[in-house]
Amino acid sequence: MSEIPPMIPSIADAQPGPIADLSYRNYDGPLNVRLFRWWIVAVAGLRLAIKKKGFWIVAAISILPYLIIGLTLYLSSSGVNTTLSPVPVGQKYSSQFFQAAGLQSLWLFIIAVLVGSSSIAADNQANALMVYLSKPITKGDYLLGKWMSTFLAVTAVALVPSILLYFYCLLSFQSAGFLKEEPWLFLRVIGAATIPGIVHASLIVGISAWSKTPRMAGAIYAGLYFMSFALATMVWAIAFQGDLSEGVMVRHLAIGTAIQGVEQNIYSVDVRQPGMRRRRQNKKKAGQTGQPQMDLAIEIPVPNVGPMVLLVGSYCVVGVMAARSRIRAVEVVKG
Amino acid sequence: MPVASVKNLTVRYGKKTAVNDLSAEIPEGCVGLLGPNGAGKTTLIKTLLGFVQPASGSGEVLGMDVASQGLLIRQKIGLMPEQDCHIPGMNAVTFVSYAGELAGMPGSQAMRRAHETLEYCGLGEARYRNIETYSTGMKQRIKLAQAIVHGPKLIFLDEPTNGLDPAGRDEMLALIKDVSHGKGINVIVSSHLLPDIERTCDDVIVMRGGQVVASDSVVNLRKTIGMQVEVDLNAPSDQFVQVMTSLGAKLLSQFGSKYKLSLSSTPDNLGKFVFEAAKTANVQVRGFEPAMRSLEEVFLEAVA
Repeated sequence: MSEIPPMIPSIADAQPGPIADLSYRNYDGPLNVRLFRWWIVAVAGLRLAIKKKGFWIVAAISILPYLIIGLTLYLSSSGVNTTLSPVPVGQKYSSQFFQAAGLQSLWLFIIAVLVGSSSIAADNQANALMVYLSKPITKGDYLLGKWMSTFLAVTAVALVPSILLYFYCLLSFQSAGFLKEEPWLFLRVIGAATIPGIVHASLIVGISAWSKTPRMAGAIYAGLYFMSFALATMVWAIAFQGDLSEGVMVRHLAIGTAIQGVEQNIYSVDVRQPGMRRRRQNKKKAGQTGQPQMDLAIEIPVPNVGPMVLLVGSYCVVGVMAARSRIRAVEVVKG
Repeated sequence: MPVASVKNLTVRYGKKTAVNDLSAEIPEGCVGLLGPNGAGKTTLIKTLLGFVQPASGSGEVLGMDVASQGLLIRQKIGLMPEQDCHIPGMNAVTFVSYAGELAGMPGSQAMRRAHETLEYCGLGEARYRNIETYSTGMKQRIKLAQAIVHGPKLIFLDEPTNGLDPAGRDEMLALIKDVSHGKGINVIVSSHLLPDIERTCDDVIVMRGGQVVASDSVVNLRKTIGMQVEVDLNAPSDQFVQVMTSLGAKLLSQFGSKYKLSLSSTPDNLGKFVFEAAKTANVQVRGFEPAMRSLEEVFLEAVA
């Protein structure tokens, strides 16, 4: 007797298929031409930046100067003999913050290279500009977004430890005249923390826009940063060897020292630079006379604010203009 | 209503004129942009997207002026560029969602649509993989996904089957055909591959030297001049050709037992006409149909 086939197919016989509707459906939701379109680009850039392990490592290292300064302040307040040198009234805390910012500057530069070098160069490498500019965003939105992502990354790394140190000082040294002697310190801390971000972001987006790979952009910026420092310091040292406190502007022509110059203006503190030649002479004299070694550090005055702002401003304008001239959706070869 | 139109458009790259006084209307549906290298196809697309400034003339996309409403146009269109392009360091779902946000979608909507679009484009399983690890075929699909995530009314596809293997090409063409028919999306496909255009497009614009040399529906362009018929016999037969010639037909081509004949006039009943000739020649007819020109013939004729 032949078997009658079942009328209803079993579940095992059924072909597997998607449960959800996978066909194309039109999108009828809102589409806004937003005023702050650059913010979308900036947030995406920041998300990519914080995904990098290197960013967190360098950010963690860059906190150390503030930690050391905080520890030094604590020890000096506890009566332990520290290296804190006497400073004029009204500069006690400013000079500490300025010193910490100076120690942190190299790490901020590395953060800028990590985040900024890939900002536009990686898009050049992957032809992403065509994707960006085929959407309703302008060249300006794109550039501002990329600039902002680098600026925010660098500024956050500079700002967070300095604000934490400020609050530590606020809680611990109120009785020592912290607020009374330096009432504007909080604003100075915020102002000074934004300067590295502004300068680094402007310059690195310019270099990144002209580079085909992030590595090349990073190498060029690093070269520019260190070479400009070496050249400016050499010229300053040779031209003003008689009195190094003169010709301060020459010293501040380099990228790093230009940032430092503006920060020095914001904190309004004098820099004490050890004088190598004088120290050697002093050692000789001390050996002859048996007198204790004197503190012969050179007092470097605050550079003039006008030229400093002009210098840093022109660095920023050059960087941004260089980037703007390079950003385009398609390469147009004029024949 | 045309989805895009240009009037007396001239685009120059330095001294070289890429598009010369071009006037054209691109109809709704799926339109193929054909032309030899340097014909001005890509320049036309770039101009419509606002990437290139025209020297003179004007253009409209979806009723909006190319010169003054670039942002609004780019919100309503999608572009799938020819070359590989992605945003480095992102996985597929982040990339497509980001493209949606750039187009003006709210973040949550963009993410939801990104998942849907990736499923539709066949990348559902690979959506969390970094795009840098994708194969060429997958990269082509993700370019399509980022172009359609925000539900554009018009998409430009520049060489969409570039670098794809036959299976991948078939799938991509099926996707293009699906998205451009009954989904409310108009598609402009620029390609050198005529079979791709033939399979997907309803209309064709053929360009040469920065000007339009032919523009019509694929069906109309493929229509032959006069009546032509393709007859498939059971075996090659010279006698059949002789009978047809005596009835006023002219042999155009023969491939085995397949004959392409041009008739001097259109008979009232083509079937009866062919079958009677076959009966006289004592051969069997396996099949017959009015002959159409291939798109390749149309293209070669237009650009010659």
